[in-house]
Amino acid sequence: MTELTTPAGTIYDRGYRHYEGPREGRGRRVRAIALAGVRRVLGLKRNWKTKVVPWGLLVLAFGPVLAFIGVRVLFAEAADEFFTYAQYLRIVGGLLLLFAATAGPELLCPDRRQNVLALIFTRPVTRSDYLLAKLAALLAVVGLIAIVPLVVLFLGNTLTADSAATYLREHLDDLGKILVAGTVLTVFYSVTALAAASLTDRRAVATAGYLGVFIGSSALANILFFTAQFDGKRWVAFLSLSGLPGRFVDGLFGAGFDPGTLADQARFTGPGYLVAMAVVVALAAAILIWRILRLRA
Amino acid sequence: MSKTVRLLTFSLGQLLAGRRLIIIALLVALPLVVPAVFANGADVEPATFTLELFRQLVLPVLLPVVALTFATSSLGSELRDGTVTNLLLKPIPRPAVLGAKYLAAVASSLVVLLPAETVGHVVAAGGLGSTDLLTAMLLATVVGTLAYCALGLLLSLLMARALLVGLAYALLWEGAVVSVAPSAASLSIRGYTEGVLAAALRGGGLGLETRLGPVSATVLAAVVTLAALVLAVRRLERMDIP
Amino acid sequence: MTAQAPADQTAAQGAVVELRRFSKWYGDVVAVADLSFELRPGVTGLLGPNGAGKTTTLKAICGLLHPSQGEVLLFGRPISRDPMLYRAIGVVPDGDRLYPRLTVRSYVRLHAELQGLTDAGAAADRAIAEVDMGPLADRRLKGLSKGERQRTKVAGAIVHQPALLILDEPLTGMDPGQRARFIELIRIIGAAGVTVLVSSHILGEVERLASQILVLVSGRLAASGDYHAIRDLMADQPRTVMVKADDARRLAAGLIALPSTVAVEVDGDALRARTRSVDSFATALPRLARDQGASLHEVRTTDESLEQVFRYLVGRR
Repeated sequence: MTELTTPAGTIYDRGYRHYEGPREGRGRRVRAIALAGVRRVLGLKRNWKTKVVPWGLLVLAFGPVLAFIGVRVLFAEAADEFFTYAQYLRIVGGLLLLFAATAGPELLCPDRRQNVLALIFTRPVTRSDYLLAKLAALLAVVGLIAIVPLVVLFLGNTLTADSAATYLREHLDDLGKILVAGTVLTVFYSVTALAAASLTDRRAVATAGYLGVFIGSSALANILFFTAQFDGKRWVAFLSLSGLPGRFVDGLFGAGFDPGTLADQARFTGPGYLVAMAVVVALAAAILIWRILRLRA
Repeated sequence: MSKTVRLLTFSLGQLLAGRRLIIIALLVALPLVVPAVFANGADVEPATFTLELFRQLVLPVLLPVVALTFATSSLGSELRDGTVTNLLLKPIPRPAVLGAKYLAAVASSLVVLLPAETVGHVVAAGGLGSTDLLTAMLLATVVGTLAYCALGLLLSLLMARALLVGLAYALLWEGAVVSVAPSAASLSIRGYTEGVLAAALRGGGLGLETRLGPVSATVLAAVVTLAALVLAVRRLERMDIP
Repeated sequence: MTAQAPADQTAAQGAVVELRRFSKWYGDVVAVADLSFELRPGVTGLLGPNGAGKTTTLKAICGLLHPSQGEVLLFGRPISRDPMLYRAIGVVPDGDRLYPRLTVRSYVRLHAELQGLTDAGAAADRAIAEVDMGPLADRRLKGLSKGERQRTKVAGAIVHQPALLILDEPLTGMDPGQRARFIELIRIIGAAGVTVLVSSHILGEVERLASQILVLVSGRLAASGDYHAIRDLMADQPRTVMVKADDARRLAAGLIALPSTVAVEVDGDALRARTRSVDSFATALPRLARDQGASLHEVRTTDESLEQVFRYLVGRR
């Protein structure tokens, strides 16, 4: 880097220079990958086709709640019960399944398929940082659907109740349950979806496998329970992956199971399903860690 | 060997490459065989059990997922990766190329599905069991595979996220149709496969209530399959290859 | 365009490739407009800047896309009607397009089999040897360098000894040694009577490869034919002549007086003159030298290169 200077003028040599300034640390790197992941999942800064699925699901999650609150506000008389928190959480659970099934693969598979990993790992990013970042991204967006609509519903109920203060006092534990359930569901769907995505480099195959396993296991559980007779067949209730979150939520909110269903007859309580979910998450996490840590750039 | 046959064997090799075949075969066989083990030792009519398993697990989930996955990747992955020019710049008519890719997808799906169904049935029945049931299931599987593969192939020629769209159709639309509007069963491949299943079972005395009669089910399945294939050929002949 | 091949039936027949007013557009974007030319045996170079429509043209000739307007005829017939024409066509397309898990030998053999060759294995080995990939024949395509993959693609394209060979930017990724060998290979193929169409950016090599060129600029044919002849036609471009003489400076003074001279540079015993008319320069120079009693040691034009032609044609738009 040279400059020629005389009292009258200076020629600047703006050639290639090495960066000498301060460098940000690991947190910034992880944040960068995570933010990029969030943008990718939501289809931001890309064309409309990538926005259809995520935003469609967001609309389905928030739409009914907002509509209901709107109706409540405008027509105070039409104060029918919307869904209970438990019921709405179950609906949201279905949306979460679909969302995680598409978003998880979107985060992990394209990097592998398009050979971008070499670019990423030549930077000082470790495999575990990479995993943390991707997980953070998915947790954030899934959490958005799992928690926020319910909180909005709660706020809506509070504000449109006859007495907001009393409603709040009486239903504060509901708010707590919403947050707990939302967090549990978020972690459950996110970790399992990422685990599925880590097993292949093609998004659609990961989605197909994930949905197939979730839906198929439920069908299987139902069949085994209702057509076969063997000792301990009530344990089959834990086989139904897509049913675990819903049953946990019902248990948490004290809502009974619909009579005649598998859940009702298996007679497990909420905590039982929570434990089952924890086991599944642990397994999925193990798969995920194993796959990511042996990623070849 | 003829050029088209070579194309077929090559495509089969690509679809069933090594590890992938084992994984898919296991994923399909597991939920069909393991429960059968339970059913065998339990107090249950094996035919009822196997039939229910087939109706609720194979037809709605396993069959469409497997068939669509193979079908969309048969030609679709070659189009996306650009390798399809290796096949099209050859003295092989494009309909023959499409036919080879279609048969490769169908064959791969059947290789994965049929043995698993057979083993599951045999294990549950503790023997050969009701051969009528077995043939009915295999027949319905073949019809369903032919139809879903044709659909998947067509979708892969029309859009980028073909498998996703196909899955949305099979899992969401067909799932919703089954529960909401029975009359729309004439618009779902699942409806056709159930109709064929029911028809084949009637001969064996295992009655089954479905919305579509045997004739309409078979005819509609054939129509849908042929229409999809014809449209796919037209598309392949007219499109600009990337 | 004249045939460079030894006389055989192909020279007597019509053109191997014929484009008649070929146009291709995508919505509002016109990729190629009104392109007409013929190809005969020998090597022809297709040149143009990025986005000029070279790949579009090549793909249309291969039958990978349909013309929006006009016709593309191979051996007198449109290729979409007759897939059997591919027996006589070999294509090295742009992009990777290789199956990563296949070995070189199985890839080339696959091409031979899909062409319907009876002894596919032997044909594959021959083609592999022709592109110098013999030692690597059992390596998987995934692990090869770019130049090695290019050569494998070429082997696949020539395994059935086609009468028409189309190559889209075949020299990319090759080191100079490989390039030289490859150019030689193409020359041999062209000399054997095959019609070869090579698209390239690397003007220096195309110069050595093909004397007939087609220049595409913005989707239109800007020039065709022998590039020396094209250069001659570029009348409004001053030509550069280099002269080495005893007293170059005095000679230069005389030359600058000529009305056709645009500029003169002197450097020691050499001068470089830019003139609008090589003819009048060539007439005036010896007269001037004789009058001055100067001895001329060297006289030559220095910008005959394809690069000059190319830049001129591209710059005109």
